[in-house]
Amino acid sequence: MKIVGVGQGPFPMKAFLKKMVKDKVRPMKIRDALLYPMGGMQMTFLDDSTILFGDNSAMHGALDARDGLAQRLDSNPQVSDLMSSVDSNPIWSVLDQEGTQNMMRSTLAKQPSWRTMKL
Amino acid sequence: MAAGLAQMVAGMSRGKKAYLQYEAQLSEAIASLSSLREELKASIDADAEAYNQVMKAYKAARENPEGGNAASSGAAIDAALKQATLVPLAVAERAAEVGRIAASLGAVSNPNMKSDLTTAGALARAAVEGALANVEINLESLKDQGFAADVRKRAGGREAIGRHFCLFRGRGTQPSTQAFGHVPRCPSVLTSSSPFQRTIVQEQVTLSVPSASKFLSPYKRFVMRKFVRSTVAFSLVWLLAASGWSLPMGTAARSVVPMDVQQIISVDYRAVHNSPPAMALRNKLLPENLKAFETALKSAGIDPDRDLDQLTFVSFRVPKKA
Repeated sequence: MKIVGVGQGPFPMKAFLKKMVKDKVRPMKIRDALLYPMGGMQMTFLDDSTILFGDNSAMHGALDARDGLAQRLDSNPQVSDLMSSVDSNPIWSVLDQEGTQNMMRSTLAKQPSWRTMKL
Repeated sequence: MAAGLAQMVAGMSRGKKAYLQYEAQLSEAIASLSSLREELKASIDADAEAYNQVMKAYKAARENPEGGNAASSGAAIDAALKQATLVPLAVAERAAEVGRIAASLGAVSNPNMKSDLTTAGALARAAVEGALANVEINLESLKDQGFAADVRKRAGGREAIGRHFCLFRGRGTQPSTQAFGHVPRCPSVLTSSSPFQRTIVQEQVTLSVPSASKFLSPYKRFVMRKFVRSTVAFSLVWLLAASGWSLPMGTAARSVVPMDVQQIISVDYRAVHNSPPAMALRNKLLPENLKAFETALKSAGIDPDRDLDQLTFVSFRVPKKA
């Protein structure tokens, strides 16, 4: 399982890139994306108002989807349909079937009655 | 915002027992609104860029009034103005389409969300009127009258559609599906007393005063437009802050989500930032690696407290390689 973060906002991209050049930070390149090391993680600008961050392998997975080397969210109607019904809320989350099962397991496992059950 | 509201209404009605017969219509509306929303968002940058090009053309003509070729300066200004006209014209057309879809949802969605459709209709209508006012102000400065006549003809249809969104205001009635019937122009939000709606009214009045603009040079008209745009933007931010309505994931953000996604968590960071208990919880629960990332970002000139609007985490499976 890989995790990436996506931040959206009015980021000062030009100032950031200038600072990277000034500090002689050398970015790693994945196709046309420049990945900058940032506090043990990597980050890149998807456009001037969107950043993507995560560990190296997660970044590869996400950028593969963006560049068409892996299938994207659009090919997953189960999750994308769920998103369209909640994504205007201030805080939201969607899970697929496996994610829901994992969450239930991790929640119920904390209950003593669940721990004693053998499935 | 109009598209987002209408999409929310369609999304919350789709799949519900009472509206199963409208499943196809609701799905189609959701898909169209989603695409229109993205296109309208992209128009923000396109409009800003077109505006910059017009400013550049005027500046070049001002800085070199005699030395340069007057004909080529005029052509450059005309070309930039044409582009600056076509962008808001496309916005008006898309906003009209959003209004049309929102109108059609009235009869096939949950009536408890009627007020959201009313708001969507009012916002779409304001967008049509504002965009057409921008089209008109640019046409006034254009020398190519053939182009101006074509655009006015195209805009006429959109204006007619925009006028009928006022049917959504309710007055205790169900939203009508007869959105394109011939009804007289009504004052829409002009009669409203809420502070936000008053602000919108002010924008509409400012945007639709051609007589005032006639006294100004084209350059000053563009400076005025810049001021009006800032005020409109301020009003929209006010509405967002007040309603707690969040912006959905952008196109760039969605593009990096792989098909094998397991979970997506999204937080409107501005809303969280304004809540002390939420911030305290965030500080307590934020993992060490994210704290280190945040510190590094700050040292590189990006301050999440200042620059971050929306934060989304995506967990996904990676196929095992052979």
